[in-house]
Amino acid sequence: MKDLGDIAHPPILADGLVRLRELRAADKAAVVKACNDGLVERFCYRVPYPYHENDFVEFLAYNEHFWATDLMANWTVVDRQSDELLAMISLEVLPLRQAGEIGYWCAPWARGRGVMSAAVRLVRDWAFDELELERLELTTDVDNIGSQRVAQAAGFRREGVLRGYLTARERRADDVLFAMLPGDPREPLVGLPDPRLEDGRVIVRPFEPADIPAVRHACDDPDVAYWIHLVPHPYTLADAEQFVIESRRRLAAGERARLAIADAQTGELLGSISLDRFADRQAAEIGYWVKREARRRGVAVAAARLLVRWAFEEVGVERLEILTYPGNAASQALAEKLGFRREGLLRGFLAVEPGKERAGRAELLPDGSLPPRDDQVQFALLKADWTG
Amino acid sequence: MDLRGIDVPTLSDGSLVLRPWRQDDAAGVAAMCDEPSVARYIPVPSPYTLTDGEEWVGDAARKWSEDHWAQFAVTRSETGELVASCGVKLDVERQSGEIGYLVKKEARREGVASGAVRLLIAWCFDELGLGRLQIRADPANTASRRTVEVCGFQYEGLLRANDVIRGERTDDVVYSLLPGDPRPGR
Repeated sequence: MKDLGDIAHPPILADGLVRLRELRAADKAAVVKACNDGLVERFCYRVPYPYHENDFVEFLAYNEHFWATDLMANWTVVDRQSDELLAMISLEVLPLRQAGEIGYWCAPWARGRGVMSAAVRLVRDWAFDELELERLELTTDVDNIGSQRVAQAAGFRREGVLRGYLTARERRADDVLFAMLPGDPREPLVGLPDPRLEDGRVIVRPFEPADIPAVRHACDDPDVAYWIHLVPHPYTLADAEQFVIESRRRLAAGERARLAIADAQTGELLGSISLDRFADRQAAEIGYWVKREARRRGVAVAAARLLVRWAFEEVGVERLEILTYPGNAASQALAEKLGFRREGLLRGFLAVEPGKERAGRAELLPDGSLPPRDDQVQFALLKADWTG
Repeated sequence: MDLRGIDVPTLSDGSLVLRPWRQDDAAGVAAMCDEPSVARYIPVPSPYTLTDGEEWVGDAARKWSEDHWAQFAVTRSETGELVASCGVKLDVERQSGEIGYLVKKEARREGVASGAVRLLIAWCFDELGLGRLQIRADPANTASRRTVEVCGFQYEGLLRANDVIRGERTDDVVYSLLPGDPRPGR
């Protein structure tokens, strides 16, 4: 790490899109407006809320000494041409570990344009190339999908979820820890390609909070609860909310795409289809359910065909698997219709779900008794066999 | 979390005592820490001298009052023999803490580390009301990883090149425990 005594204050950084400069008194109106935004309130717990002009005045004064006393570099991110305030970004140097921590917020009027990622890249490059830091970190709330995309776009890698890491306005928040080392490629890290698939009849897309009531209605159905592992019955609104939240988090993390199936004409939620990746084998498992009113209309087949194509062509999977309970004839017929080949019975694959009937979930033992765990029938489709 | 007026306590489970460091512990600390297997994973000076030991015990009070870092001598209840060092560094803003420890070579494989960690867990959650505890370890330090897992900590991730020990960058694995997590007993 370089001797920071040589650096009197953080420099101006710029690229073709944005300029990072010192905070000025004239920034007050824009900062106050940005900091009163709902997402800043939700995810930036250190920013006072509601945010008043006095908060800005205090921050401006504090900012004068930030670098000298706390090794905290703070920049206002402005439009390169117009000097319009777009975001704020900071780098805190942690000298003991020769590391740095980046923090930021983006004004609501500047989101979705690559402004924040551009700023993170500029700070990243200064930290590695000028300060010669050995490690950079940033943390984002586990539900802050936008911020996770910014981190990934700047090449940061997920290292883990820190449970209950922050106290955020009266509640504990889980944070995703991202980090980058000087030798890492300075390229965007792509998780899963954006899944928005359609064929004119169905749309397969990420879940939205607005889907929660429809998920609740669809899953509060004995058939869904019976044939789909780990769906509780009765199924409450809280269960549906957790389902949607987890789906969004896991999609953002690139581990699993659990997606909504919607009617292409009406937008009505019809079901869900998911792709669970086993990255080390270039394989993935497909799972799905369709709500009672939408069955026998080819919805599952249509959604599955879209997902199979996406998996082979965009996600880079070489082998797809479908697992079903032995008694789920409908699901097995669908697997075969998609060209999957039955590979065998995986005995004792799943734990018994307490409170659920076992009929059709496990093959009886020779003496006619039920085994201690449930079976799954495995089907698989290889990319090499896929006819498109 | 208001730490004013709170001193580093003495904690005991009948077999081990965790107590604040005293000036006369310096020689014991030096003997314990001047040992390659201790220096391997912990950023102690190596070799470790009596002066290093005196600095360590002498600085303990300041570490608590200024850095909110509580450090303990771990001794056997029966004999008072020093067997380990442990501590928890508190983050007042986040109401969380990071636990660290090292065990004297001759006292290993006796449950000293897990005993000390359990006492710290109880103090941090039940007395201080912390919302999160964290432990970092070298990925290759299987003994320490077993200790924390036995105490109920959950693995969260691998932090690449996270720390520096005597000039060399090392990876860390990070584990956490939350107040609601199960705390496996002895």
